[in-house]
Amino acid sequence: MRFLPGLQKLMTTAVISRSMRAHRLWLANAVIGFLIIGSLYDIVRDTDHWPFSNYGMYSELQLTPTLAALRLFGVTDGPSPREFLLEPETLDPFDRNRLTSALVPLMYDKNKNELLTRALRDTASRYEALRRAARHHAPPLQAIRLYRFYWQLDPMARNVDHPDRKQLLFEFRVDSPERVAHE
Amino acid sequence: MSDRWTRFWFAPASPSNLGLCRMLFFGGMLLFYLPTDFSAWGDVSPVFWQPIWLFARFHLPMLPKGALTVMQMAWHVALAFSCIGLFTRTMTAVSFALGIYILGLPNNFGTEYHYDTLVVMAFAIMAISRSGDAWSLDRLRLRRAEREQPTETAASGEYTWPIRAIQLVMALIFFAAGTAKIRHSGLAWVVSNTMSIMLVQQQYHIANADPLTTVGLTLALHPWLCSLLAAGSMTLETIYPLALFNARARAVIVPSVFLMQVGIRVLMGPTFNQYLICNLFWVPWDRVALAIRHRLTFSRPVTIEAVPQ
Repeated sequence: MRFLPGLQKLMTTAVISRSMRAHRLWLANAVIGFLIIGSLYDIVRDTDHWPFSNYGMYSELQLTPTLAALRLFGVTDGPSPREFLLEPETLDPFDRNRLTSALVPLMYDKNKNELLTRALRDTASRYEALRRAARHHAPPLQAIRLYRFYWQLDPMARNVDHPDRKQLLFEFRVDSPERVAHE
Repeated sequence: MSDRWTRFWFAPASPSNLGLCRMLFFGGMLLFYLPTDFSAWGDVSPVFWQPIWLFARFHLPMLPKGALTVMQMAWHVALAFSCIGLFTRTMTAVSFALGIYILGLPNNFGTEYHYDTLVVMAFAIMAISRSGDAWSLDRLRLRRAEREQPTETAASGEYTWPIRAIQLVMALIFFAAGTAKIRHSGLAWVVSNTMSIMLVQQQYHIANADPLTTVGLTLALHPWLCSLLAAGSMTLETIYPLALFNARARAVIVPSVFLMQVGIRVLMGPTFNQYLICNLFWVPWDRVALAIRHRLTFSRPVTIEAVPQ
């Protein structure tokens, strides 16, 4: 009688197999195998092959309470120009993080002036198109400035708008083809 | 081994749970993505184009705004049809084919986000599944056609593996996130000030969305609490695959990780709404529907008609 549980298992498996056609069973197994192998490949190799990934975000150690981040500022048009941080609704379809991340490789390209000019011209023209479509209520721009901000973190984040140091990396003037590059 | 594999993935089940999951998943995705205009990416300058692996490998181009608008409309229709279960096989396939392009497109500009990866894989699985065999207009049409001899759909492994496969993808994703922390930082990720520093950094507008509250700053003042949060997150993520095999582990891990993702949104900013919706694949909806039906049946007032003498 000891063989009965084993036999029962085998019969259950046979019933399961009969409930699906052979080609469907094969397809489902192939899909499951592909998902497992694709995911494990990126986990083991520590790589990204969207939609597979190693999901490494937030996995690095943070040892010092400091932060460096890129910031895009608009400069208002008019007799007394004023700088203001570009809000996400003025950058659509980008969000702040995606746009500044997209600028990083351009900053390190040998044609960086040309590429950044094209990129910020595009940003400025979309800003204006969104403004005219009343998708945001920010003022017209005469320039866009790209900064790198450095902070010593404040425990209450009171210095968000007042970094310890800011470095102007690039400026694009909307009303003329001129641009100013800063090292 | 082969027996265990077959019984795990293909144990016969009724089509109800998969059908309800399909309805809720595609309905949820339609409502979630409806306000997002992906066609705006067609207007972005090619200078920003930095193709991800999928687009580079298969030479997928950046389509113009007009084409994206049409594609997006077709995608919304496919999601709606998949939700109600009309032409389900075709519509779920269309949802996947258009969805992988539409959801992948923004990742070619600047940085890869991982908010939609689970959704894309769930679309792929649903496209191959037989999810329209219950809770669908297709089923109603079939019943109407068979009016004389209505047949019940037999239990089958066809209705088990798609749900299990989506649960597997979730498990692999969280396992990857947990192991990445162990690999890149080890135990120091828990015992150092990393969590406390990250909670403060997130208030400096660095994520795709800002945190909903500033409670993270208060938590960051208590290093032991931050270490506890870090230990909890790393452990839950790494052991998430246990939820696939053990009911008790599932009852703890799945709701805890759900709450963890809500916590991330509240304290740090990143938006994992799609993941939150995909948790519906852990719920045995057929049993929930049965329980609701039972409750409604028993709570209905009994009327006794007076019989005239």
